[in-house]
Amino acid sequence: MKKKLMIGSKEVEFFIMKDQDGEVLLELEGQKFHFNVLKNDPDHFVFSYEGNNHFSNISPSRRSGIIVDGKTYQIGPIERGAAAKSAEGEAMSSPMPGKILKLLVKEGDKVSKGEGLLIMEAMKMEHTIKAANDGILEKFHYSEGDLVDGGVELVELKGLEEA
Amino acid sequence: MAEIKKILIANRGEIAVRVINTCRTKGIKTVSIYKPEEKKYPHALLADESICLGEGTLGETYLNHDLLVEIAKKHNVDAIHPGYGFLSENAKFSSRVRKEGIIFIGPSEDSMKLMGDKISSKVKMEEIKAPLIPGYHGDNQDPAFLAQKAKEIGYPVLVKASAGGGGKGMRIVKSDKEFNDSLAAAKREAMNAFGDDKVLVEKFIVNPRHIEVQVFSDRYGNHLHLLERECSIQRRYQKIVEESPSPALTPEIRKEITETAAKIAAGIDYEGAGTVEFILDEDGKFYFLEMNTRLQVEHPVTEMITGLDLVDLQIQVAEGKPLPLKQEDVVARGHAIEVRLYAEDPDNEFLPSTGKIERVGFPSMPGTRLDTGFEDGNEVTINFDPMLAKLIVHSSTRDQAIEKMKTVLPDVPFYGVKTNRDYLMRILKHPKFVEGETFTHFVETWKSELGPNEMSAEEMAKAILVYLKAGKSSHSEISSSRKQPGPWDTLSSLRNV
Repeated sequence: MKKKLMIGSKEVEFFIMKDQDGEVLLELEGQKFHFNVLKNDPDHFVFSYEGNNHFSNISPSRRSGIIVDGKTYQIGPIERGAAAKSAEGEAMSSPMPGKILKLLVKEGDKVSKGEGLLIMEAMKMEHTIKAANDGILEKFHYSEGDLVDGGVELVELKGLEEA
Repeated sequence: MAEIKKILIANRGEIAVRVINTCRTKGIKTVSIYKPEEKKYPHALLADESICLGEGTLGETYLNHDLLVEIAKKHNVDAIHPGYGFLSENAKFSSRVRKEGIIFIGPSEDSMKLMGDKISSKVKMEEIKAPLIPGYHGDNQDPAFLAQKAKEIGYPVLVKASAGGGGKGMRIVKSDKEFNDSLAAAKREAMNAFGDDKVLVEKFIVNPRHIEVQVFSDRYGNHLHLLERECSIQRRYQKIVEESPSPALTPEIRKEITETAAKIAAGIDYEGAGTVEFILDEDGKFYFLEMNTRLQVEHPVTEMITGLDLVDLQIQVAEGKPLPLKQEDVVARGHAIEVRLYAEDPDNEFLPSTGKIERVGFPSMPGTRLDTGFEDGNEVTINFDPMLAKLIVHSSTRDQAIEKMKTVLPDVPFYGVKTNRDYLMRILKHPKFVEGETFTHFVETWKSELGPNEMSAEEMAKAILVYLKAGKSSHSEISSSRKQPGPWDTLSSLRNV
């Protein structure tokens, strides 16, 4: 039976050729993998592969990842559109409390998506807040040197169709 | 001598929990503070009394001098422990606390002010003959004069804008020939960036290490050092891996650097816990950087190898007791490493991440310690420091400590929020880290090797297996697992405790 899962940003196709009494045979990318499940505890899942034991655990919700041999994987069903959606937007608020270091454009300027709008400093790090879409920078809510809380809107950006 | 029976912890998160733990072993009552959204965080739950600070910015809550003093007085505490960060190096606050008749667990205002200022601390260090990075910081900006100074200091040198920061107006000059051109460029950049073209010339250290020495002083003139920590592995000027002993120190350099730190503590008539930070170059020469007049984030590394409880010592010193040990009692045993787990995305400029923690976990081996301010179900928000936890391991040797850390890192998944755990793992596995070639530019130098690597088919197959099977009963197990969970099944969740 052909199945698909998302691992990170990769769509992976595989076959389950056997799944019986803790013995699992998977095929993917033309290779066969033969596993034996030794202990099935979500916090301590142990299996053997080619004679070696491997240790892993899974998040309680199953949605927040797994760790296998010390490496983290985000894995789950393929949800079309979901991944693309979360990659955009929401980037124009302060990632955490900090200080506005420098405004990179002027109010009224036309900006394009991804262009740096301002630099803020927080936790000894500098963060560039970038335009989430093309548009006109209507207003900066703060001036250089201002202290801001985390999660607050920093700019007003009008999309081109609105302006 | 004043006995401390009750302490207000003017901090939050893991350091508040850390202080509470020592107070509990000493039978000292604790008062912790929290914001409404932190009601279910460990620091709010573990203290004998916990006080809600109300809504507001940090300035209106954790950093609010009036409010903290009011709480301290209302709840009759004998002392305030400031933790690190927040008000721990705020001379105004400590002096206010003392004026109100409350013990501030920390050094004097004078020490704080002196070491908190880059210029006054350097002047004092010159006075007590502590080693400073050779350089010229004066007003004479004549190019020929500065070139002469560069020659005296010895190439390579760094020409840096006095008003500077962020690498602007900064030039590394390798030889006499380049000096004039580089000076002109640095001055031009400095003028553009800061409106001031004054520069300073300093020795450039090619492969620097960050070595710091824990010092401890009482008010009777006992100034001890508790050995060194190496904290060279940093990202964006923040330490992420710390260890002791440093793989770079010979017994001779160790003796010299630790004695220098104790001498500095004595020279400024220090009291309490402090950390003297140095830069170490490849020739084993070290230079004073700054002194932190508080407990340091990475203090558990020192506790692991010395067997001492630094918060306990802080309290004893604050009570006016002499330090309960002598320099010869401070002995290093084995090797300790600490890693800082952050809610952040190492593959995206270490941008902080948020989320609800599904599982904190617990390190499964002896000789390990997890200092965290979070438990399952807590939210990680953008309003506080993104540090989730410090994981500390202790072993006989450095190699064993590295292996142990690699073994227990997966035990603390902090599921529900993106962390730097895999990134830390890649550092621990890096051959240069294993060899102890840890310079402050490590993360930058090995950037591409420390990035995420491609998944192999085998890794994907294992991931699929775990995702499909972990926590799910297979066909053959269904019959036996259909019964109601009994008490022993429920207890299995306590496996790690």
